[in-house]
Amino acid sequence: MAAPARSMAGTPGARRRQAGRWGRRGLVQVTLIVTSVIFLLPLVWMVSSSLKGNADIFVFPPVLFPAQPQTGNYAQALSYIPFGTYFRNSAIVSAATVVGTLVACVPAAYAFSILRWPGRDLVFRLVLATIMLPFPVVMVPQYLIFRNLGWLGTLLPLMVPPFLGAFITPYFASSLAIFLLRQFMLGLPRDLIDAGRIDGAGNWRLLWHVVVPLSKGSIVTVVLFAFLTSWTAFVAPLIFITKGDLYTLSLGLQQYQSLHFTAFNYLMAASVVFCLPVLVAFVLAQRYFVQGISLTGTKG
Amino acid sequence: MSARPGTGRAARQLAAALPFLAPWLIGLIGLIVVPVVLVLYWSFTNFNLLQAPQWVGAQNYQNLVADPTFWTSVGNTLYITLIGVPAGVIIGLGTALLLNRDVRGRDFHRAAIFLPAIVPPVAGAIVWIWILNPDYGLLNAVLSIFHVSPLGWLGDPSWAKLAELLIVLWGSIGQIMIVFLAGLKEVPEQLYEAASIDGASGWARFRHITLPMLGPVLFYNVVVGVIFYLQFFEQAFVITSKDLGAPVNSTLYYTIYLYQNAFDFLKMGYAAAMAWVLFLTTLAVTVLFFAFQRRLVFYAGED
Repeated sequence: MAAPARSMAGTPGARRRQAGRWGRRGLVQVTLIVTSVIFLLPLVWMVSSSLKGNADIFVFPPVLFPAQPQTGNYAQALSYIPFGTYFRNSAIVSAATVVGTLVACVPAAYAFSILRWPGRDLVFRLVLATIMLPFPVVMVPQYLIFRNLGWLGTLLPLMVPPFLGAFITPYFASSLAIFLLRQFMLGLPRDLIDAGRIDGAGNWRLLWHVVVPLSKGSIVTVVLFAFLTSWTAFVAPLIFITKGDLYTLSLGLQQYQSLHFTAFNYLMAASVVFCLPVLVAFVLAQRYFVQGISLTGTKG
Repeated sequence: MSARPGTGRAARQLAAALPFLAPWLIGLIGLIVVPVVLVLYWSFTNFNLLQAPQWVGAQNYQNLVADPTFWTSVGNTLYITLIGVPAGVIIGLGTALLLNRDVRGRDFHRAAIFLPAIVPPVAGAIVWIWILNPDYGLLNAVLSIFHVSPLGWLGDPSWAKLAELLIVLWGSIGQIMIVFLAGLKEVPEQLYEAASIDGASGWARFRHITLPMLGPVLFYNVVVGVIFYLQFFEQAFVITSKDLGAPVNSTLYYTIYLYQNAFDFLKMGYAAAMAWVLFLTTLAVTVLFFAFQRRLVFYAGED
């Protein structure tokens, strides 16, 4: 790669290259705009369809912006199915998942980073290994365990596993939370922790008063992912929730889809409301989502 | 001081760590280790939830090998894995490379491409069912502008898998892109500067600097992608919930068939054999990739 230096301002070649650079810049810009439109269009289409009247929905070619937006669709959609009940169930399960993930994973991460004990790093490899464990492998035995505990017909099969660090999905698991928190805690300044120890603080006090306040950023990331994953989860509710009035939104919407296949405008309105909490979380905390995903990808 | 001070200290350290690990340890044993062992045991039994499991030896595994529907599900899963993983990585890397430049509206584009990754899979699948509607859907309308005649998409056995892949890629590329962007940030600027002085072309810089430096991140995306597609379930279930695997088993993936055996046919032993095969496959894929990655990372001169 020893080409001669060939940059000489003002020569025709340089001018041509300059023009080429502008052309390339334009191409990058256009490609990005087209890509963004492709990725956003389904969501725009979701909102647009949710505002269409029954007469406008089955029209070909379809109209992107309905002439008379039917905001009443939302009230209709939400009373069509027990939306309030499903929303409440989803909220309960998500709250339990967030709290449970913190209760189980913050102390575990502390033990895997700040504390020293024989076999620590070997056991941590076990944590890493379980990140990849597919839920379908354990779903049948877990179903029977919960049945024997008499938990079927309640929300407990979704609420308890996070408290035991056994929240498993294809996207985010308790093990991943432990990993993220541990990576962060390993990077904390050792002097601060040693200073805490000299002051005579026990491990729990050290965790609560020194490590947790310093780890706020990674804790927020874990909270967001736990919320996002439990709010959108589908497989575990499908297997473990056996009563209609305990359905989460994922299950309710899925059932709505098969029952009222033609009422696409109502279905889209319900979907918009379903997505709303996640979108709000994203707008408020985009930085933490990006940080969390980046960290798992580059430090894994 | 006791005779073995090391042992005493180790025991003290363990005793101090145990309370912090207790919830996780109970979950690991009760909800992961015990289930994995149970699945192994059941895979050698005839079990329908109503009666106690009956030992049948390797019968379930022999039946699996002879079951054409099982092989259909394996084939469909391989199909989406072999197309979905490279497609996701290429588009994810492509968008990351574009966004890694100094372009106008960078934050907007990054957010727009990432947004579908946080949309609930069920909601995403539902809106796509509507987009892919053969008669009134948006996609056929867009294609008709280019004089493409309407396609059957999810209802057409030869298109159904690709249509589902489209849905999954839409919902997963954002995450792949973010990981690549993080990887690109870690490539030292001096390497590019040195290459520019040497007169390396854009392609040469990509081939000899960017790609090797991205090695670990690339492998991460491939491993996560392969493991995701091996257990692909959600969108496929939502789309075909009335008739799983429709049309004509063209979207019957591995875990959909596993679910059917367990909860529709109550063939728990058979489902357990499938679960154990999935477990071993995942394990093998993970171990294989990590062994390979260590070599690659060494190559790139990192670590």
